[in-house]
Amino acid sequence: MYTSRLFLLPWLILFAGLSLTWLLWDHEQESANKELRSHFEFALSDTVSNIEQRMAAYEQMLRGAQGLFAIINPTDRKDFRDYVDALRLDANFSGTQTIGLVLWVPAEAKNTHIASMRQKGFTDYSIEPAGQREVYTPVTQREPEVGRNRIQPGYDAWTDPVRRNAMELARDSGLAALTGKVRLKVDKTADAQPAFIMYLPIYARGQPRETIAERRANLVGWVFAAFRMNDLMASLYGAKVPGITVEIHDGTEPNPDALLYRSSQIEQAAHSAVLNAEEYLVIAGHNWTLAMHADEEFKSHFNNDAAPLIAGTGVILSLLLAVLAWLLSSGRAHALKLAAKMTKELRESEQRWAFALEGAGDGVWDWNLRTRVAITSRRWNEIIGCEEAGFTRTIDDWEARIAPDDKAEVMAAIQNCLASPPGSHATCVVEHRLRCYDETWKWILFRGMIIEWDDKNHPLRIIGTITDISERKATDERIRHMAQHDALTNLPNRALFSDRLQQELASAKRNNEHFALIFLDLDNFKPINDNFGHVMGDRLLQAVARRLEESIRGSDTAGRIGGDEFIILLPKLHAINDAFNLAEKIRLNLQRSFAIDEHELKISCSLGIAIYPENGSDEITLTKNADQALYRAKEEGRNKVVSA
Amino acid sequence: MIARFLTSFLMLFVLGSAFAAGPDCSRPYTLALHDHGLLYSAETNTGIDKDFADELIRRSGCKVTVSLMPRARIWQLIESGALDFSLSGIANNERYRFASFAWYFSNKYYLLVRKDGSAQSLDDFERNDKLQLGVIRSFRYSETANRFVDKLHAANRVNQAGGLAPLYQTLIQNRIQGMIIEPFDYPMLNEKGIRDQTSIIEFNDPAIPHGLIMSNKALPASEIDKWRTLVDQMRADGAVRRIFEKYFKPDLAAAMVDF
Repeated sequence: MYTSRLFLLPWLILFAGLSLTWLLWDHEQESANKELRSHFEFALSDTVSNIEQRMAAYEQMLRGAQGLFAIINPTDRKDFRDYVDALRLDANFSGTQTIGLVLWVPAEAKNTHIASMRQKGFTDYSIEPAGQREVYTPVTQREPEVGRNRIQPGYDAWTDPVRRNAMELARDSGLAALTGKVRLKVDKTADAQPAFIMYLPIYARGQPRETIAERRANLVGWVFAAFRMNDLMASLYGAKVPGITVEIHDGTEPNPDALLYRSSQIEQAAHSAVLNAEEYLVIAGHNWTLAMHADEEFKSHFNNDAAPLIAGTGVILSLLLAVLAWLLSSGRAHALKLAAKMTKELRESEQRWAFALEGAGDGVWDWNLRTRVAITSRRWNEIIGCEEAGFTRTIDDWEARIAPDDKAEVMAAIQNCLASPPGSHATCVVEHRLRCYDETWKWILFRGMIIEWDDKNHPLRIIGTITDISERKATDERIRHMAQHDALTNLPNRALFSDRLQQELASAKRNNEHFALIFLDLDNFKPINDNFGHVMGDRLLQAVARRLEESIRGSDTAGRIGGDEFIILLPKLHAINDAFNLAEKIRLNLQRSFAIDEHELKISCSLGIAIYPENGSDEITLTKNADQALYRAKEEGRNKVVSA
Repeated sequence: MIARFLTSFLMLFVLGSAFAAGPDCSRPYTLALHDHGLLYSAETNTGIDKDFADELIRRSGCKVTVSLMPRARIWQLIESGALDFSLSGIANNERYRFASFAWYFSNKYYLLVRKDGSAQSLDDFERNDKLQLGVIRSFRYSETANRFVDKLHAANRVNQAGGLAPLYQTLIQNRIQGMIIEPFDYPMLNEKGIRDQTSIIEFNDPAIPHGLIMSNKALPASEIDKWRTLVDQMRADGAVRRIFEKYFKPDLAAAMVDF
């Protein structure tokens, strides 16, 4: 799952990057195409407009001639020539090959017309083609009469259907009319340019021309202008746009026969062009089809689109981003894998340690000093005697369970540990008693170590163990007791007694008090051993010890110093007699018979008393004096108390 | 006697007022027609616009030179102020910038399509990349039609023409498969033998008013108002309806001029 994501991300980024690139590229290309198209449309409308305006100018020029015949006789050749001369058809109008006059000659006026023309100097004048027709429309004049225009007049334009069509249209509408593609009569060479003629009707002066019938009835002739298409197109204004091919066909159906003009020598196939358009021009009632093609040259001339740059940059950036994403994600994946491995190892290590510690009988704890929450192990809970589940332990709960006597020592040890600098591996080890959940007390060996600090070096976590040392503590106590007590009677032995005597000496000296040291020896004890055996003797000694303990005060100490010898310390005496009275009390108590098994044994004792400070101010002196007093009691007949 | 005197006085007053409200004829004006079916046919030099122009010129009493031009040229010259008037113009925001209008008829636009193009609706036509539309350069139509034309134009599917005649021809030749027509083009469909090969799809737009186009640059606002009054009078007194009835059946004529 994770691996698939790792591989998916760079691909997704690559896909997104390439998609974005494609969108930008597409948008840029669309904009560039729009701009190119707008340039193309401008070129088209400019060309169309130029042609239309030029044709309108020619029509206007012809209207001038038409107007001329409103005031002159159409047969007046000189006036017409002067008019054309006055037009000054210079290079700007180089398309205009001829401006001329066609007369409407009904059959009955043919001879008169021919005679009239011959009179004007055209001695060989005839109407061509020859033949009998109802009407003749001879070209009577071509101006300027120079160069190619100097040909014999008399061509009957009506005989050519293309010309006749336009002439009829002009006649019936009273407006200018254009022929289709024609070959001009003045063009004698084989490579004559395609041409067309514009006709404008001339009606009889002062006659009505409102209806078609009136216009037909009053027709006098036509003025015309003949144009060579290539020359006309070459004379148009406007800068030639590179990469544009213009074709003009006569009519609305482009075919080679109808081709009037092509701006390029090579035929531009429409399907190979970058842009194509066709527009139908209506000029003087006649249709032309203008086809415009734009090739790669046009595209490169206007092309400023940044699409290739965007595509290149976009693809490179997308690839770089994808590679970067792959590097980042694989790096992150590697880091996560490592972290997971480390976490696993740590968890295993912790588990091993916890297992080891638990196996050793230690409870493990983990304190968070910030939240004061304590996490404890199963063994910890067992030691403290609480249920494992449903219980949130806190450090404060633990603190409240420390025995009051130990608390100061424990907290001091912990504080000491907390105050140690990070990295010092400081540990705190302290033994204390803890109140368990069943309200019993246990001795605990508490060990702790700080393992985590915050960025200000304040301790965050302490972990450690607790060990139940109650048994060890009990054993220690037992050993300590055995070392200080007589194994047979459990009375303090000489060492403990000596220790207490030293303490009492110090205390009595400090407080200026009195105390007494009494030596006690059983009278005639040996015969009991001899008669009843050592076991009986030992049991008697134990019974004596119990009766001795019963006879003395709680603050007094009775000890056995060997054989049948005992020693008694009576601290804080109010009066000297108190010691004697207590010794007497003991003598009397021991005098009473002892019942051991089925035997009733009788025994007595002798006691010697030494008083501090009267009979000595140190242990040796006091012991010596008490011993001497005992000796005297023995001497004086036993079963007696003697003071030193 | 007194009544007759008063009537004569009133007539004089009305005539006087009318005369005073007439356009300024101190200069000759120019008006351009465009060759467009029944509106104007150069072939016969007749048509609705020709009749309308004649009547308008007659009523104005001014000298107006009438000429024939491509529609695109007409709009160019109206904008530049070189041309004063034209007829049957429709407005849009761009045109209002340089022209004023005096409406005298309104009609809807229709898409004329070849039956073999299999377009039953505007969407069908739009979807089929092979279908080309023919339009007259600079013509504008109703809202939906404009949108339709602009969309096809952007897709390089529009052939432009300087007039209606080549569009009919190229439609017959199947070089375009659709063109936009108006009711006054219907008779031409019969005449050209187009009706059998074509069907008509309606643009669901309201009828668009057509009117006298007046160049804002050539005519001061006060003069424009006077010419508009003249057109309104021609509508009010039935002159416009009579012109249309010459070319259409009375009900269609009424539908076009009463708007």
